[in-house]
Amino acid sequence: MSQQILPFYLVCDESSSMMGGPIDAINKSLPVLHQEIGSNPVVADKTRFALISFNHQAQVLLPLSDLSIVSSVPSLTASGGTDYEVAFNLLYDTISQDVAKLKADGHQVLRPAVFFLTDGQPNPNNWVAAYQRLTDPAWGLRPNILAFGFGEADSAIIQQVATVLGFVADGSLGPAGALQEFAQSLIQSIVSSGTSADANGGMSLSAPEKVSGFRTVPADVV
Amino acid sequence: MILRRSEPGPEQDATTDHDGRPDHDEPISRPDPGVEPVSTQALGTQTEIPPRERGAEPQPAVAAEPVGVPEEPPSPQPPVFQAPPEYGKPHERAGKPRGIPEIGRAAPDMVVDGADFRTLTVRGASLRGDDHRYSGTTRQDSMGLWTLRHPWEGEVLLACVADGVGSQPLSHRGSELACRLLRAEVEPYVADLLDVGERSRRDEAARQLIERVALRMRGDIQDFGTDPRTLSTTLVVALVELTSVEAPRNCFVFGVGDSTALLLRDGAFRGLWTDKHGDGAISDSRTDALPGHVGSVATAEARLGGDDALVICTDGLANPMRGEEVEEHLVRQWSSRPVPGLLEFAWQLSFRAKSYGDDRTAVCVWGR
Repeated sequence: MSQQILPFYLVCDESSSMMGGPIDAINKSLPVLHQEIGSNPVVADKTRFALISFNHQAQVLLPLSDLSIVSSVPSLTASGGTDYEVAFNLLYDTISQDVAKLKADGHQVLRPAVFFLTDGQPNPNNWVAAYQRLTDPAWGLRPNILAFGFGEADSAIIQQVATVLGFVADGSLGPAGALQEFAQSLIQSIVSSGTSADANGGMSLSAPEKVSGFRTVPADVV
Repeated sequence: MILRRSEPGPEQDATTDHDGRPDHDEPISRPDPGVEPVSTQALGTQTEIPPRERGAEPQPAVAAEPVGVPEEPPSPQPPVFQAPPEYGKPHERAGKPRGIPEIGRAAPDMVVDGADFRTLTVRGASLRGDDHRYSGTTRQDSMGLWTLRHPWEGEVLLACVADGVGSQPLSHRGSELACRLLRAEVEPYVADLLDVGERSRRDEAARQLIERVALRMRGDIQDFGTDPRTLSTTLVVALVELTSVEAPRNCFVFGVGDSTALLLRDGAFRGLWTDKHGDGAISDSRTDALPGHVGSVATAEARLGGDDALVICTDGLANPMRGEEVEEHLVRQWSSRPVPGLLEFAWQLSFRAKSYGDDRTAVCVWGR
């Protein structure tokens, strides 16, 4: 049966600096997200959710899923470095495969939305080239990206990664508190993206304007 | 759900009852997901409304007590309602109407309308989408049916559907206003709109009428003290001659935005103009809308034959119809004779398809 689907990707930094409070805060929030999205018929039937984690490697922890039928969401484990290049490349490949599969199944696919969460500065490598490939206007599947930085994240890099809006922790909350606010804004965004119809009654990414504990930074024009 | 025959007797088709209605042992608006289907289709498959036998006397739903008398006679089974078809296993709580909208001039959950003319039959329904039902917010689609005096002889059917743009707070008023103002402004344009000899004249009349409606909307919006965009709506209009006894009948259809016009002929729907969503990898959700962004006015001529049906609809129907199951089911329902009754038409339009929670409005005109 053909459906109209808005895919969400949470791409989460799990480098060693996330150990302790930050990773615990994310792991506590994922079951809440699972519960809130999965029990809301308006949202659950139209959104799909995927979890990608990265440090010096990147992996799909939860493939693009209907949260109303998955039994649980995997948790993150902190270790290693911060390599954006592998994250963006995996995201590119995953979105390509997911959209191709959804289209092959006859679904109407809306532009994917990415929540990108990081606490550090990326390893110096070719991540900018990988990012440009992911957000190339000529690539039909390029996602909308909301970027969240906390801890030591460089606000200029957050601004560079975001295509819609960036958010940088302003220090008013500890890392765990900031990540709880992040998780809440993620849930709110998914819910309102699924429920607030756009121009043709379909869906598009509904971005938070402000997130408590974070400073909003405009996205660089891609 | 479990089908149970209400009386003993000859074997009947699994979905056809003596009075044209299926019997069930419980009132079903939603199947219980925890219960295995026993003798009918599982969730996610389509169920067929049984064909009706016009003129057949309704039979009592309670079985007559047979001779020989069992000690405990069967308890009376009230006639029950068969839920509309479901596709793709929607969420078990999809479409629960969880509240009455708390806004001024909220539209009722649904409107059903229609008429059996001597040479045509028209049915229309505008249904609140499952998303609006669940959130307790109002239907934003509107529709209208009227007959007008034909410029030369007889009458003309005027039908319209309008889809209030989902993100705008007063678009339910906008769609209703667009339909009402169309009716108020249409008559001076009818002769040109029905002029089969001059396509350019028809197109120009359509554009002028749409712009006139947009102008009137902007004027009325001043009374609201609000930004015209808050009333944004699509509008699709069909004019069909009621005069001709011999098929085919002269039709003219035009519209603004992503609502659609289709012709059902020879067992297939054909779009009367190009689908503006396109076939790209990512669905495009932008649309032109009255009163602020009229954009291009799509127009189409059609000759409605005796076996044809002309459909104008909002994307709450057009989007799920991209799925073959839904499309094929509607082809069967709307190609068969007799034309569905008013409530039957609304029932047919009430199918539930996973992820499609938008308001759904359609007007169908059959050439018979």
